[in-house]
Amino acid sequence: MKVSRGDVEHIMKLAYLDLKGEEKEKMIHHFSRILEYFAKLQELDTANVEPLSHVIEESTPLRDDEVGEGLSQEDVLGMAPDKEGGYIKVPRIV
Amino acid sequence: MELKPVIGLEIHCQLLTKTKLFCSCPTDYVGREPNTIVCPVCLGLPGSLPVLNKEALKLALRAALALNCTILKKTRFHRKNYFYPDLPKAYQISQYDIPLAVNGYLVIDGKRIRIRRVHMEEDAGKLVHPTKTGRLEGAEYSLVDFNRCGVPLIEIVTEPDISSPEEARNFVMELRSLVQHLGVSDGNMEEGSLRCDANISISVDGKFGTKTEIKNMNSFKAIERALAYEINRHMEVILSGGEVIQETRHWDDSKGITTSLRGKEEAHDYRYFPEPDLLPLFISDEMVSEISKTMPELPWDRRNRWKMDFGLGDYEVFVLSSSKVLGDFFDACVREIGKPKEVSNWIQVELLRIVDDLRLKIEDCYFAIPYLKEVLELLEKGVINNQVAKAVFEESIRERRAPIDIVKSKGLEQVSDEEALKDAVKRVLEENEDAVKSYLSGKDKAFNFLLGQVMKVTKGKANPAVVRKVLEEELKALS
Repeated sequence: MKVSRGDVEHIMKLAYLDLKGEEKEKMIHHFSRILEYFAKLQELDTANVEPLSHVIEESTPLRDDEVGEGLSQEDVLGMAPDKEGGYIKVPRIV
Repeated sequence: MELKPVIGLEIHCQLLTKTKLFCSCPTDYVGREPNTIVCPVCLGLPGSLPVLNKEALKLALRAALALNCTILKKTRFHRKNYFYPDLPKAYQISQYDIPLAVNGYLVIDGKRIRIRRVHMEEDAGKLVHPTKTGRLEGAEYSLVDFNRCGVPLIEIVTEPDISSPEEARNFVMELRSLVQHLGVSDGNMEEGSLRCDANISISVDGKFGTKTEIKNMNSFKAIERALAYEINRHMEVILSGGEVIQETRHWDDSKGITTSLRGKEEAHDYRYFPEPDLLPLFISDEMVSEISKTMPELPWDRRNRWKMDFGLGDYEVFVLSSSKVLGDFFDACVREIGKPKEVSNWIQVELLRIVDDLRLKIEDCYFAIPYLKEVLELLEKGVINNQVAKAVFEESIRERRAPIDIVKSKGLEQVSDEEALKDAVKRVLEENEDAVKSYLSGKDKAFNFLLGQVMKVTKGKANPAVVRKVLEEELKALS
């Protein structure tokens, strides 16, 4: 299955990635290989197989609704590249 | 050509848990310093793992059951991927192909509005835009507060069964009342703990049209206005031979219009996949039956009880059930006082007005229950008349003073003594010769004027029935 340049550019946009021309070509190749592999898998007859999303068939653990310790504001803001008055400052969105 | 509006709603409710959906950070973010109730889990720091809040699950199930949904025995969470600064993980943990519950309904004015699904998800953070309007457009930069990040939500999605803006508003009102009665959410639209988006299209001769999604409707009134506006806009496009564009639109409440959000929310491609950090979720029959057994009284059961046990009418029960706190207050009053019809009337006519004037909250008015009880007793015993009773009730709440004290200290007791009232009546008749003449010449309206005058000179304290009797006698004597 051939992946187009447009497909790669769409994925780039969704992933917030900026790739150069030759990198795009490389991605077209990689993506195609991945899809070829899945195409191979799809040859299998799975009509009577339940879809599997998790390998452990157990219910996810539950937590009691009790408040615990979090991070300090100082620690949170310390991880951010920029801040202003307790907030994290981010570049223009649109 | 037959044009019909087709409306479906998506409603998000914040759940009343102490902690977030997947971590133990508190949820009371309103009024908090920014970025002070966050942790590695809700910030999505590497190596952290989400663990589902049991209480959030219970509340979500309670809502789903009250909405007559089928609970799915095996459900799971998905990652909804998108980049936006209010979402530190760059994905929201939500539910996709297998939600918690499906196929329910809510009855609005006798009509079933079907519920397509109810699912759990986490809230995003809050953005502050340093522009005059607070809107994103034109902001040089934005500020992020992650306190709300990870707060548990349920999303309730209806089928497109709603056919008018009014019906949409009634649906959201009833849903809000429901989640309040269930203790699932406080349902506060102004603070955003209940948010409503709408999908709207116009069917032409029974064929579905292109839909638009409307966001930012922050009150019941806004829902009605925004939908009415959007229906008109669609109709105009269709009738002029154009085509409605599928897009998301923003309701601007101050301008009363919707504007396109294209560009900002282009080409949604969320690349959902099962959340690998959580196992699937199995809902046991025991859990469901436990929740069914502990279901509180639902708004429609409450309304029926008021109708059957108290003989209240449709409109009365509609007003009293419009919010849970009001219904609770009414029930508390009836427990204390009895007389449900009178109590209902006094709450709706007097108390709601007083509360509004004095800027009180109903939930802070329990102190007024003994006052209402006393006012009703004074009224029943004929100690005060109706007009005085209303004024005394208001004053008792304002001054936090027992009605009997007010009546005594101001000498407001009703005067029912015929002899005492005769003097007042005679004086009024002497001072209002014209009115007397016009009454005697057959103009009955003058009688009420004279009665009003007697009430005035007795400072409203006279027993109106006795005044009426004395006045009739005295006028008869003149004719």
